[in-house]
Amino acid sequence: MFICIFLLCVSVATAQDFDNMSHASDPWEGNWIELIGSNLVRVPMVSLNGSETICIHPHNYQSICAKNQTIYGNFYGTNQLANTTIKVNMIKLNFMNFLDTSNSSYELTKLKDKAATLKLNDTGDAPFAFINMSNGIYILYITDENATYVLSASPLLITEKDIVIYVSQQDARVGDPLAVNVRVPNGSLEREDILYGAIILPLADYENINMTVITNDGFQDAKFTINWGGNSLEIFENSKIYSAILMNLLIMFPANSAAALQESTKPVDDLYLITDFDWEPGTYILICGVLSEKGLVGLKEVKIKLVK
Amino acid sequence: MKINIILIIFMLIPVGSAFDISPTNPCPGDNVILTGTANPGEPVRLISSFEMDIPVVNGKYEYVAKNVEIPQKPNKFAFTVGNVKELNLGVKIGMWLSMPVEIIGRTASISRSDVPPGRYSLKMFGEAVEGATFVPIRVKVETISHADQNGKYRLCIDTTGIPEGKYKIQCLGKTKMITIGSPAEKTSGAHSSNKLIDKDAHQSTKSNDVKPVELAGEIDIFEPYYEHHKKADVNNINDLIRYISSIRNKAINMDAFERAAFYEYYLESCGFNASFAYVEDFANCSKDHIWLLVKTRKTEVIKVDPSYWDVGKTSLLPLEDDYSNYDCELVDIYAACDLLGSERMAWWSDGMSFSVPKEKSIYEYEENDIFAEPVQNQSFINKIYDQLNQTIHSLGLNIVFNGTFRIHLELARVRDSTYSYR
Repeated sequence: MFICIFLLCVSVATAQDFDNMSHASDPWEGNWIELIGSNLVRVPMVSLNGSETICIHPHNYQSICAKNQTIYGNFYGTNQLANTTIKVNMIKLNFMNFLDTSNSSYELTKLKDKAATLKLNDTGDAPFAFINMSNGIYILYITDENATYVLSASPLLITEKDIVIYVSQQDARVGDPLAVNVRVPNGSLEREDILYGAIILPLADYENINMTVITNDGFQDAKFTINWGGNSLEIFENSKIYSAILMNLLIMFPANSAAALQESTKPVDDLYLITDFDWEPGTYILICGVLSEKGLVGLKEVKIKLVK
Repeated sequence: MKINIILIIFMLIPVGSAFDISPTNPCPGDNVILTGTANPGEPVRLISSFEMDIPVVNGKYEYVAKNVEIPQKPNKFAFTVGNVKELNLGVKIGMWLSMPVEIIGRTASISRSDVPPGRYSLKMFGEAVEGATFVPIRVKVETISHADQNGKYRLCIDTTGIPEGKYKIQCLGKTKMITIGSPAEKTSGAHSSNKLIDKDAHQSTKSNDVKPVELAGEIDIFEPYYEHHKKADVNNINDLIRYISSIRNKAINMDAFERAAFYEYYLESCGFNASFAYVEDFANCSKDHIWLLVKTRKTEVIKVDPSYWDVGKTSLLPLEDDYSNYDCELVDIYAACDLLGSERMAWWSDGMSFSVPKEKSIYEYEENDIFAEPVQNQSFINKIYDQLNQTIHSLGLNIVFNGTFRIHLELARVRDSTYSYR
């Protein structure tokens, strides 16, 4: 979730000034990028407040792709863009740099060879695809033909593997430690140092997160506000994962949430999430991530029903 | 039924001090005041250790302690848990955060120093070794209080979370007993629970057995103590130095006696013939000291002082006359514990030292740099831990990650979980 939040911030940052993007809340009419895939994670509702426009990011899910998978997507431009030409670009974030709190700026690598020129159809739309992408954190952005301004931007997570997680529903009871089995397929990561992580929180709380991006004069003055329950957190300037920001986000988590970490060299491991007896039974969201020296190995989200 | 918790009782060990405790029969949650006298400004070391047995049900155990108070800095906080196949440790910092703890043999240890004071909720759970009916937990908490300009010191201990029972407090050979609550009744503790995991009974709980413990010589030696690592060339002094260097960084937080015991354990496990040399008055400093005697097959005796800098010496392998005379040679850890008390030798209460190199050749660690400073591992995983550590440090939790990938949980002050950024 943190990754998604920050990637959204970075995406908006990449877009520089979304007033120029003619966004609309209609996913099919407003310069939106749609990524297609089956491994989806929820993203908070994002409201973009410009000087003249207010719109809601239309996608509630972010597709997570695995390395070497063909990545399919669509660009839905405004009618004004009909039959024009656009460029689809990719920026890769250095993952170490992404986590480094001492640096104030990202190290961005523009993948020129990944830029593609697309002709939009009569309604300003065009499908696109990328192949042979290595794993990493990317910003996918679309410019006009001359690359004078950014039309749209979207985060793109490409993982090393498509991890598998398993939770025995029989054991999913409040008050009991919740065992989460995480498996990295093919076992090729054996003998590497792997960090497994999992977090569980109520679905209703998770869906209650929303983020507002306010800007009047481009990204320089952009203000990001994350609202959760009665708490809010403002992020100014750039959108790096500063420790303080992450800490403040952690504090905002509801009491009936839990996280677990485990480092291992095995491609399969169990994480144990602590639940309390006073947790309300119901639907919870469970997100697992696996990291290695190579970066993000995998990310998966599932729903879990906790019972008494 | 929820019961008992963690116990934090302090033992005063100031030289030439007297101490008093009030009240001697506090109720759980009461404050206990320790007062005493020492030299003005003198640091007074306060140690408490206790043990209890957690019952095992269906092969599993669970222990919960709520609102346990960690005393002022400087402090040291250590758990040793036996009879376990796996151990997960959780800390509640608004949300629960849990991690597994490495098991060596059937024992898990967690130890941290300078934990920010505050109250914490903890949870330990996992699978016990086959056939175990209980899981012994040993807790040791240390802090230092400084005497004021008049030589008086005072420490207030909140007994919230401390199990009911009798406790022994010892100072300079004097012993005082206090009783928290009514141990005969063994009723529920104020804020903690020792819960049995019983899948059939769901929340079946039962009291744990809190034992007052001797404050000297009370820590069991784990068994089997000496292990069989890759054998060294025991006649080669360079090999000896390399092996010693490979574990040097793991003994940083130990005192001289724990460090000597740790080195002896490791060298013996690697095939060296090591014993202890002990003297009550080392170098006419009116202070006792311990070092190692490593014997080669050629009957050469090499003196190894893992704490040479503590006693003002300059070499790990000293040649000074001060090392020629010692009161006695202690052949192994058992003899050392018999004479000096296992409390003093118990390096195994320091979790980091358990992760000594075993399977790998030590040459992979520090072959050519015997006295190098600890190398900062800049690996990705370390970076992640650094990031997490920075992030949640002020929340009250530190994750300390060392080069052999053993995780320690450092407990810190818990902030109010409700938060407003502005």
